[in-house]
Amino acid sequence: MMMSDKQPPLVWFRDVTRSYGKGDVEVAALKNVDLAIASGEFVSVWGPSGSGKSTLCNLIGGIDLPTSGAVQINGEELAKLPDAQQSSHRNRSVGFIFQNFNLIGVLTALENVLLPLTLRGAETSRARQEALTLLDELGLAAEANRLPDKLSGGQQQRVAIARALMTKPPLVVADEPTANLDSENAEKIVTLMRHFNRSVGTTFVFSTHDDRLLDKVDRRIHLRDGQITDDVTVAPFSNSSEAP
Amino acid sequence: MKMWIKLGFRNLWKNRRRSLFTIAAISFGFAAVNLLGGFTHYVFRGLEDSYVYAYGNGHMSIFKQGYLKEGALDPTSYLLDASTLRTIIKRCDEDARIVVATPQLNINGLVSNGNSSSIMIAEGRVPEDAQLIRSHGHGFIGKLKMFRGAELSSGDEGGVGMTTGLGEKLGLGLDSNAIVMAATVDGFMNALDANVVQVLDAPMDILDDMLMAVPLSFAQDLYETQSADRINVLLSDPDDKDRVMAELARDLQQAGLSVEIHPWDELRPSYLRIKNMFDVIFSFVFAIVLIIVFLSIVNTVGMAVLERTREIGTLRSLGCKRHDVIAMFATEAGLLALFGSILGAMVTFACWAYVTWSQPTWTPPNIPKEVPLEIHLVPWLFVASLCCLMILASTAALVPARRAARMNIIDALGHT
Ligand SMILES: Nc1ncnc2c1ncn2[C@@H]1O[C@H](COP(=O)(O)OP(=O)(O)O)[C@@H](O)[C@H]1O
Ligand SMILES: [Mg+2]
Repeated sequence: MMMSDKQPPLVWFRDVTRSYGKGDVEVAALKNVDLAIASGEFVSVWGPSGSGKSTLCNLIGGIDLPTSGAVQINGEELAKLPDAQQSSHRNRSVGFIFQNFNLIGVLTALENVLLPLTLRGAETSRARQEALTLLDELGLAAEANRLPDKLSGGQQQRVAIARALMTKPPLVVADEPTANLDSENAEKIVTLMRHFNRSVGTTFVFSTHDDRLLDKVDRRIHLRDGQITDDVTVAPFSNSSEAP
Repeated sequence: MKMWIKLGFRNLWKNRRRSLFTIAAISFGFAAVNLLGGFTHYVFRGLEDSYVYAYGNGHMSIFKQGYLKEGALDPTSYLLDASTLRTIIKRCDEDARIVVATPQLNINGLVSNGNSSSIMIAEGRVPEDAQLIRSHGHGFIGKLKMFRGAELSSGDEGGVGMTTGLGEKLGLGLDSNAIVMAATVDGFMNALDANVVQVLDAPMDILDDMLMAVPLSFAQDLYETQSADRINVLLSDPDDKDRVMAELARDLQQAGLSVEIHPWDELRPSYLRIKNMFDVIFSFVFAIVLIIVFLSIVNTVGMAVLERTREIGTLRSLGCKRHDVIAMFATEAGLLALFGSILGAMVTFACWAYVTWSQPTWTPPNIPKEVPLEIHLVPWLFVASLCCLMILASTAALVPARRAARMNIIDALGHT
């Protein structure tokens, strides 16, 4: 999963613009953005509301395509692939965590975690075991067979993290994963992501408008009006491990 | 697929009130089709059985070549002579699938009470063979008697039956004496004494004031002939009809006989007319049911797509392909059709049980008698309607499901 310096970055944006609407009402949510994120990084994207954080996350996560410019994720330029291949790329290369959790309401925590594997027909008994281990690691062992509406927000978001990690993707994108949580749960979520970043080497990109969470990251990308105004690497990402 | 069934099942359960309405609509349609189909089956069976068994005509009849076309003008030239009759009956007796082959001679002439007379046509049959054929009828048909009075009998040649209308016209009833007159095959006038031993129910109103039933020997004596105009053949299994007919035709031709063989439904033109009418009614009801089911599925799945837009976005972001989204909703619709059909089968069964238990009676158009009204359970129709409804439901789901699958992922996710 780790890449050498010679390999292309895991996330690579070249002159990316994403605008919404047409003609007079056209709004550029991202303007001519260049960006590279290497494998193993733990990155936050922050900025005020409307600055383009979600747009950036959507492009990185492969659920949206740029209006112009090129986005390469894990060596693939999604815009050039047919829809079915874009889907399998999302299934294999990216884990997505949403602000409002987006668990499937009629599936239990365990079934939600297994869902990305189920979708590709790879739900094995070994996978079930792994999912249970993962839930245990996230402190949800007792909740495995509960439906999402029986779980607290913090628990739901931890299930969502397990779901994103289940396929062992090189990259996990989280768009304001803590915005719907209280500060205690918010911190817990970031700590957990950090834990998996260090223990498994998964690259995390998460957006936030809460600057209290920023001291947990290696790199902060600051967005303003659809442009990167600041991109600071705080510390090398080979820090000592932190417990969840 | 397993996943879609699980999801579909749980989502239907989650919205059980709405699901129940759709399932009820589908089951109503299923029951309507199967009850009407079951009733139609009963009517067709009744038409067949009354003609084949109750009226004693058998499953097919053998005539001299040309009898049906030209025989009306010159019936006596198109009779099967005694040796031909023997050859045919011998061939039929050797065939284990044939219960009985029996000659029939229809005659026409006058019947008189001594003072006045009226035209009549009479069916001359071997009475014992006619009774044997009647006794092979299914269910109530086997017990149905289309007359009052005694059975005709070969031993009592002068004992005849006449329709109610004819009897009233001539003031004749049970046990009255009459004189039957007709021209012989050689063209001389002949008359025989007869005694009315039974009063008949005519199969058609227009025959009510002219039809008689006589023993074959009476008809032959009156016509001064040993011939008959047809041989009626009864099979033990009606499904053998086409094969037996083809083999008989082949063998009789090889034996040098010039005959034509017709199945019962060709000889009874009203059967095909009634069948066509029922087919039209049935198609009409079936079409209405399909439209109702189609619309309710489009509506139900359309609502599900709206409610679950965000879920669709989530699934797509997790790598669910477009055709998987379509499969998901099609499966859900298929489940609705399945449950609807199961409930519909139960409703059909309950109605069937009620009708069977309460034994209502009616007078069908083809039998001039009160007979039990039945609804048959038609297994192939159950299976066919289940398949039809499931395919239809899945197809109906495609309309909203394709819309869901084509949705932009971020728009779907942003949907609340
Ligand atoms: N679907 C959309 N249609 C039109 N405009 C949009 C849409 N999504 C976002 N925008 C606009 O793009 C800009 C950036 O939005 P977004 O990426 O959601 O920012 P953030 O996540 O930082 O709040 C905002 O001005 C927003 O109004
Ligand atoms: Mg946002």
